[in-house]
Amino acid sequence: MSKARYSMGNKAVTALQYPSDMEAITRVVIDPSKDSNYEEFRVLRSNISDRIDDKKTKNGEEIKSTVRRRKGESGDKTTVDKLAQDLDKMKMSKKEEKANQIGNPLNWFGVLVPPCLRSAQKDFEKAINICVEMASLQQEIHWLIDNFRSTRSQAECNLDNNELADVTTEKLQENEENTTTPQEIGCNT
Amino acid sequence: MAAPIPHGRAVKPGRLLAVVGDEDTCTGFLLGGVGEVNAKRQKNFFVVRKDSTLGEIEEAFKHFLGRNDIAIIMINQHIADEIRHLIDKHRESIPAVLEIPSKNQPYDPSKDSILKRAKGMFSAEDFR
Repeated sequence: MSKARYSMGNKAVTALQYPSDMEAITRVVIDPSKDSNYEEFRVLRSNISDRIDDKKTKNGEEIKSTVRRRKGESGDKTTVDKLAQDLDKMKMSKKEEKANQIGNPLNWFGVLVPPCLRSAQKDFEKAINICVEMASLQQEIHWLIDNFRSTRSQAECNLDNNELADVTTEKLQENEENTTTPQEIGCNT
Repeated sequence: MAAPIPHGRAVKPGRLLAVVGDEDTCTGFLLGGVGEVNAKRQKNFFVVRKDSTLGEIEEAFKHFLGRNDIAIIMINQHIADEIRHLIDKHRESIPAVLEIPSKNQPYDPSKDSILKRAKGMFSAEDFR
């Protein structure tokens, strides 16, 4: 990113380039873990062209109607169909290209961006995947800490009860006339 | 509970990643596609500048904690040090708080809130 800033200029790669309206293409899904009671995170990257399809379904309908008209014509249907399909593909690829231009944060910094900025974007995408993995591991650590503490306090409680039972048994043996029942201390776990 | 849906926008699956960091950290993660400005003009990122006050950072962090559409908050460790009291107080699992290094300050595991909690579990008595 610093290299891109060096080649494009100091003010070309800053927070000033952020648009006022943006939509996240990288999100996180929370999944319950299979083995335990903690949650795991998973990266969800939305298809940029799908987002544009939501906004521009009218264009999609126009493309479909073109295909229908062409199929209805007489003559060599296979050639006409092929032409129609090629035309649709061209339209879709142009549409996807436009969608990519609109949805891709790289385009906040200009139409032609240096390759180092593209590689910075790829590196940050990898970093996001790693961060989400780390967050999942952190959740596991949280769960293990809580689990360890509750298990330890239960174990200490049981230990106290056993010690008390031993002391009581000794007293019973010393004093044969008295009978007492061991009482368990209530444990807060 | 889902956030109120603005008229005309479809509900997006998943939650967001929030970023509290210096300009390069925020720009980088926004390049990765995590940035969003919702219908209420609220951002899921906060750029910490030299003139940012502690109050502004705290308010941004608390705002992200309060939102129900954010799953992970990524924060530069040197900024996390300034609001350590708020991070240590946060005990819920969602949103998860992840401390990350910045360009100038490498990551120090001894300062990380989560690792400090894990370290504090064991004392000398446990190893008798």
